[in-house]
Amino acid sequence: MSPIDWIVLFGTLISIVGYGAWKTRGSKNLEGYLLGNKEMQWWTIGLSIMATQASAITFLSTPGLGYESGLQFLQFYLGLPIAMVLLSVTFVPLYYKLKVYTAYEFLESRFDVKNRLLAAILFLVQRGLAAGLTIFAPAIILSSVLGLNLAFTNIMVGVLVIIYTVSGGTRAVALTQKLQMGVIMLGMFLAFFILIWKLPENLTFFKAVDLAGSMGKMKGLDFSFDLRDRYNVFTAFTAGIFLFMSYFGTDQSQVARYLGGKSIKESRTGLMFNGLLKVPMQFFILMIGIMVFVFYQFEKPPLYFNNVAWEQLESTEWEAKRNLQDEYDDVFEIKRSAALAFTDNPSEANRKTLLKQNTREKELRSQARDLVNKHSAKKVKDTNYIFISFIMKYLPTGLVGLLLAVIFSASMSSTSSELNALSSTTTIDIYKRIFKKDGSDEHYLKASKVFTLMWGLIAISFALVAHLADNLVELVNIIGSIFYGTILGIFVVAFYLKSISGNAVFRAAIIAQISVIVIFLTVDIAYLWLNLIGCSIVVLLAMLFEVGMEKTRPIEN
Amino acid sequence: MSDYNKEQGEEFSRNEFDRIADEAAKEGAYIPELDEDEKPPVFSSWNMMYAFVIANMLLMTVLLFLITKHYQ
Repeated sequence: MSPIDWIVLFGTLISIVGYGAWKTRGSKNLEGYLLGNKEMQWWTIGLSIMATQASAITFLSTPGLGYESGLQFLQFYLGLPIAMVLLSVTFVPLYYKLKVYTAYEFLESRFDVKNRLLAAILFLVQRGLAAGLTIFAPAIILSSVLGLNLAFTNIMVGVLVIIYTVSGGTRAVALTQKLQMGVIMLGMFLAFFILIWKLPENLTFFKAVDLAGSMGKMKGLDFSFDLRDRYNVFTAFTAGIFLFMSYFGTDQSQVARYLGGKSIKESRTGLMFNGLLKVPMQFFILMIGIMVFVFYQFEKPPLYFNNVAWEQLESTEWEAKRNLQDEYDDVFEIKRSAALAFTDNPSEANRKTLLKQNTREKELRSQARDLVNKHSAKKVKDTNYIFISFIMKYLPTGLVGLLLAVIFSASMSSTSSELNALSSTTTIDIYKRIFKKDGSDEHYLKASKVFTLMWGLIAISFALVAHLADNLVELVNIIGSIFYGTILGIFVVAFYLKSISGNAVFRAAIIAQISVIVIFLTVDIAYLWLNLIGCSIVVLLAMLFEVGMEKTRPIEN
Repeated sequence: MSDYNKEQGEEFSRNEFDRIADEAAKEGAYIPELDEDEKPPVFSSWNMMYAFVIANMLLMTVLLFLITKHYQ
């Protein structure tokens, strides 16, 4: 990478961190630190919500998913607008009315302290793990591509985030996220236009879309019903809605974003902003991946995108590697001719030749992956390297640095929200509620800063020892899905089933959480369904327990 | 419950909130009634805005369906 790219990368990151820390320095009270003095407007909230959800993995993995399976991943987000409306109607007004700092405070006023603590602890466990992964997942890819030490990359991202999150709390998180989203959108738009510009001269954007479509990349909806399949219409509008309800309604890293709103109107509008823009944004990122796919029909891509892993293959595999590479070179030349022929004349015969060569290319890639996995302890999916490999090789100097800043910014924006939420939950729901009930505002402010630092160090430590397998973007969602269903179930009972008491829902939640873990370990089912299963078990068992308790309850005067 | 209603629409401190919440928790189920909100930007009511967001989602689903059909 050129010195200009390094300057752009570090210049962008340090400017954002410095500006965020300086502008929000010296929070004087707990409300200012945890709720940003409740002065945020809807566009800040909306951008903050989007930046929290869009981690670095989104910008590394999603174009790779577009490259591999086209628009299919978009279905995953179709239920999101419905979830935004449901939250806006039910959850947001209640949180405002009760003037809570965290979502879990509400559970004590509705049920009792044990339900509040259960939900808070489930959140701390899953989000604490996820925060480590949010740092580690992009670090493993970026360190490999940039030739940086993995531990250094983990620590660099972690420390930069800690600086402004400890210093400025929620306001610093929101302020930096606005800037980070600006850098992210600018970088992605520039990457998209350069990609289009780099396509062959006679290939217009619409012709490129036609080419992608003829190779199955424009299939956006899948109506086949399969419980093991994550991405189909039925999953999106059932399990998907439950996942987004849980994530945006009960995960403090998101709830904190809209609790900092100037008024209920700002918070609701921020959620609607996310409901309107999230699907188009994901469509755009997937389209970048699809255009990278089209670009690589004419320009030879590497056989294995993770170049470092490919180059490091042991000498015993050199012959197998050379044979694969030779065959791949031949297949690519035939495929390129077929792609050019199809562009000039999109006939069925040309399409069949193109598809046949594409299938052969996929087989060769699969063999290359098996070869690498045989010798590698860190099994990171090669799709995660597709976009970064394109950035490093084909984008002009300066823009490479900007795109890397996009990925680091996304990592930092998600991590800062997570640390902020972990700290507020630890301070309000655990420390203040259990250990020190009569502290001053200043005392809790200091405690919040200490807990932010503590969670930051835990996240870095976890990132340093994490060894991941398979797809990184999914691992975060899987961890979330295991816990979200139960937490959502508790909230659904709290909001909609007024007659159910704390004891009934607490027992139901414990059983539900154990059941979800057992189902996850023993049944072959798409992880999205765990949200619906966990939530349903809590609701149904809570109703049964309540009926049982009413029958055994003595008659009162 | 009645304490909460008395306070409705007024600013009250967090200690006050804690006291009300504790009392409500003792009573069992506790769901405060909702106030009327301010109107959303651009739209005349929140229902209009929600309808717009859902309609936008349906439009995107239909477009995605048409794209899928076209390239099948």
